[in-house]
Amino acid sequence: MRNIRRQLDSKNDREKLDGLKRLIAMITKGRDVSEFFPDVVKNVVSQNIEVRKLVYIYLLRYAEQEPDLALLSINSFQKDLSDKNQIIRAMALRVMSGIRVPVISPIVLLGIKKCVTDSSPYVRKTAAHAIPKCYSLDETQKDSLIEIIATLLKDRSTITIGSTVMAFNEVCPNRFDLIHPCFRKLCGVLPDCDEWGQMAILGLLLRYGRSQFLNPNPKVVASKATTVTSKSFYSSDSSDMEDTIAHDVVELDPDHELMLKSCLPLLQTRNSGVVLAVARIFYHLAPAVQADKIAKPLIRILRNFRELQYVVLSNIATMTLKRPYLFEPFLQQFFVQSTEPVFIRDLKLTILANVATDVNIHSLLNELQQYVKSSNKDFVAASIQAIARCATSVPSSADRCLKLLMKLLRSSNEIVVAESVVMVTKLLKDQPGENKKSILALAKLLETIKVPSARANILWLIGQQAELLPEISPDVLRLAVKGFADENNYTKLQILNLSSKLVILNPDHPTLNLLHQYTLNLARYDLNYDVRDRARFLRSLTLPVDNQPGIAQLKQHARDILLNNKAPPVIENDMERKPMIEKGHVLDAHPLFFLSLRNVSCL
Amino acid sequence: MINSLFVINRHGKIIVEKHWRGIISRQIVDVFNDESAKFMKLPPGTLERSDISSNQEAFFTKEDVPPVLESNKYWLLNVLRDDLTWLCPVEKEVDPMLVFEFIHRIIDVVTDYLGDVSEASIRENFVTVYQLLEEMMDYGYPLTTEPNALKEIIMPPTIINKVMTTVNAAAGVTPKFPQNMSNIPWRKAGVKYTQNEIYFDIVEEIDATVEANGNVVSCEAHGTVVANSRLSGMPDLSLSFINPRLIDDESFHPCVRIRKWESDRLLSFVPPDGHFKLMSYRVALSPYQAMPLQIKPQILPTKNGGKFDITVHPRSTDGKPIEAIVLSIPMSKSTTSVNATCNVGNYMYDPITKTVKWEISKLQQRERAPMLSGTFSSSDAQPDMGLTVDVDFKISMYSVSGIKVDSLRLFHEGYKPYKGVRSMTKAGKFHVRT
Repeated sequence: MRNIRRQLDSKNDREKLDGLKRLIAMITKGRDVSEFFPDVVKNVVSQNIEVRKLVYIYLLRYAEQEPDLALLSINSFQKDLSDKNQIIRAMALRVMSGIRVPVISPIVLLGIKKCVTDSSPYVRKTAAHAIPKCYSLDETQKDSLIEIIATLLKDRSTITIGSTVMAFNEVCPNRFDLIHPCFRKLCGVLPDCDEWGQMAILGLLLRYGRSQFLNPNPKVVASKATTVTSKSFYSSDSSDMEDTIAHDVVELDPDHELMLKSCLPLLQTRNSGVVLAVARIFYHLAPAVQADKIAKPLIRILRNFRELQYVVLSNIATMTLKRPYLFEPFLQQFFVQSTEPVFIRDLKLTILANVATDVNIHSLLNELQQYVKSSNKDFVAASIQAIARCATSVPSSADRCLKLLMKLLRSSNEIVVAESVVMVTKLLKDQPGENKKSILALAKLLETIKVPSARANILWLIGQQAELLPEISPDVLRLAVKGFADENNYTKLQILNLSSKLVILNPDHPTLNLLHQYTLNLARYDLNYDVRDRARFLRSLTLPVDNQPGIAQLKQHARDILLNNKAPPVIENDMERKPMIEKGHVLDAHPLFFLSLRNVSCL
Repeated sequence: MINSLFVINRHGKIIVEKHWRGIISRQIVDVFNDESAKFMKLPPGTLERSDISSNQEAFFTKEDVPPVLESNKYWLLNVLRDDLTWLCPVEKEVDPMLVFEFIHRIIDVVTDYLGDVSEASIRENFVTVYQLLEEMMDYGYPLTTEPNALKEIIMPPTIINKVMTTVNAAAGVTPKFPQNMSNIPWRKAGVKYTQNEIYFDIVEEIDATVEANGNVVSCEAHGTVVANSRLSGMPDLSLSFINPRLIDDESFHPCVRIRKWESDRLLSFVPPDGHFKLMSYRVALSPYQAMPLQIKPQILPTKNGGKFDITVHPRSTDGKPIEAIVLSIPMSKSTTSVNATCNVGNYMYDPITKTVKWEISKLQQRERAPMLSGTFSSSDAQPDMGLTVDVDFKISMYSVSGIKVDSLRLFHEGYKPYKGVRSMTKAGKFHVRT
């Protein structure tokens, strides 16, 4: 350590460099080397540019902890701001604004003002970068900073504009009045900016467009309200779709059209962030006929690092909720490999179920059937859910899906069987009459299957359909009660339900009544609160008790309470279940990223 | 915007930390490690799977940790690449694409500087890495990310450069400082070569999924044109293809003038210096033209084991031999032993990963179809089936899509450069189901 101090004090630049490098290496590792602050700051005036650069790195890291000493360096930066070399000027402003000591904010502001009028675009770019830094140091400077942003927005250089828009987005994201005069210029410079600038500008254009232009697809959005029907709305047949689109054609504002036109070429950029940003603009702001241009590029950027793939897939999943037809032609792109990470696989399965239509359901089910053979049981379970989801989203395929799932009941793997049971019971609630055989098959399974959720589901289903199965349901109950003590709590609750339902259906059957009484007694001494509680409730509902007025009234409706026809379930996908901000939601990967759309008046 | 970046090794320890907007405590990494342990179904506090868990039903790895995790205060955006995790805790809303694209760009640039990105190479070059991080991002916003521009500011740690700085510093010579930046961000000014040359590599990867009976489920080619430019001055190039119509969808390096491509199907650009990826494209392939290989696997399970045989039929590839064929055949997790014979190449069974690797170094058409057949035994009465065979191969001087370069013309400079074009076709994600 002493050695480093000696090196920093040395007159020899090589020694200094060496000492500084050792310090930087320690910073990188996360060691605290702030004790050298005074020794390092001295070197800020060094003639050697390499030394100075390393000093800057050190300074930026520790200035916050040593504000007083850091101020010592300010003078040299102010001097550098008038240097002949543009790079030195830019560097001085960059480092000075990066010193996180609130006292210096007026000096930084002065520096920014000076650099905004600099002849070099690089220096002006640095000035734009310094704006958010200055804003975070001292929020009261906001007004003068906005003024600077307004000046910079008039800048003609493609080098600065991206950074200016980043500053705009951070300091005053909703001052669209500043954007109005330069909107056309922003569209014009878009292709010549660097990729990060493009992303910032596209983000701004999206917000601007959604708040300033008319909705290009009034009709489509109206149908968003009824999500479930909108799926069939598009997929039913294409001529129908064209009709609605033809109705939809809205005269676009010339500026609106200009924006779409200038964004379009960016779909060919190598940066997938830019491509996705353009896709978002087209999804929200382009007439439905044009929106299909985004599908291909999105598919292209899917072949990418897993993280990027994840974001793109989340966006596609959201898009397919409302406009599945966009990605229908690319069904195969969402086929899954069993080796893919869980989160990619789940998203792909969601998308597959979303884009299922009468036309492609055949090949889709063939594919899903393959997945079910996989040795990765977790993957199989997810695929089974996807099959069930297809059955609900494409009603005409329900039969085939059901058959597929019934086949899986014979699988040797318990997880597979359990998952299929759960899904089959969900599907069977729909049209029990036609599927008596399937219910019988499920009842038989009770002898072998052990997974509680599956057992509970089967028992529930049999109770629900008891009327149709007078021959077997009492027998199922008899067998179930036999093993009551060893069952899981969920199953116990369903045994209680089943037995009550049967008694309500056959109030005068002596054996059933005895069996019911026996079940209730078993439950009465159960260890679990819920089971005991349910038993008490069902006892007063089903068995004759002393006349308490309220209960008598309740009893009259016992049948309705227990055997009500429940609405057919919708097997949802994860996307729909996620908390979404009703209107602002739409296109961002994660709830976290909705914020920016929150304060925009929505389509 | 990006607040901080932590580079974490496989044991969950921090190698590099860098803060752009005030300091985030290192404890965030512990939070991250615990969160990822949840997704790997491990008890918190451990990151590496010991062998006891091999009997677990589902097998989760680091790969399965989602790239966006939630903690109390931050969103933990993480990138896993080459065994290192790059973690960005984010406080405020930010476009996740920006963060992920940027981290991958950092990794690309560091790879370019150091040759490879690993714990060892980073530790050896802390200062360079830290300078790069400093230069590439300013207060959480990307600043300079073009390798050409960066190399003007930060010297790559090559031996010659190291010697030069030491000598200069010792002699008291201040290093030269670039006076002006070039007008084109991706190309530095004043490049000079005694011999002007430019090379293009067209590399195409076939992504395909094939069923056991030979039916092709999906199949397409992804091509990239990688260039190595060693040209003096500010050359303006225009490259044309014989058959650009084949291209289905494409993307370009920022140097390419997109409008020119749209009007004339011509790549017009001022190239960066050195290696760069000029263009990527996608070509839809017809299943029959596309498959250089037809692979037919057959696995017949019996009680406590089974039989398998796999044949490889080469298809027409313009007479070019198919090289470095590797078939990875995963066996069920309960496999205890494998016994096989092959008439071409050699095979190896890895008892830890439970995969059979069969390598054929070179395959010409009209040779006898290679075949691997054998038996395996398993501790499970009914071994798992439904695995996919992973295929790898490459064919030099062949492009499966048929894309060919027509001409390259050079403007704005007086010299005649040496031009070279090579093509190559490789297997991308090539899977055969069993």
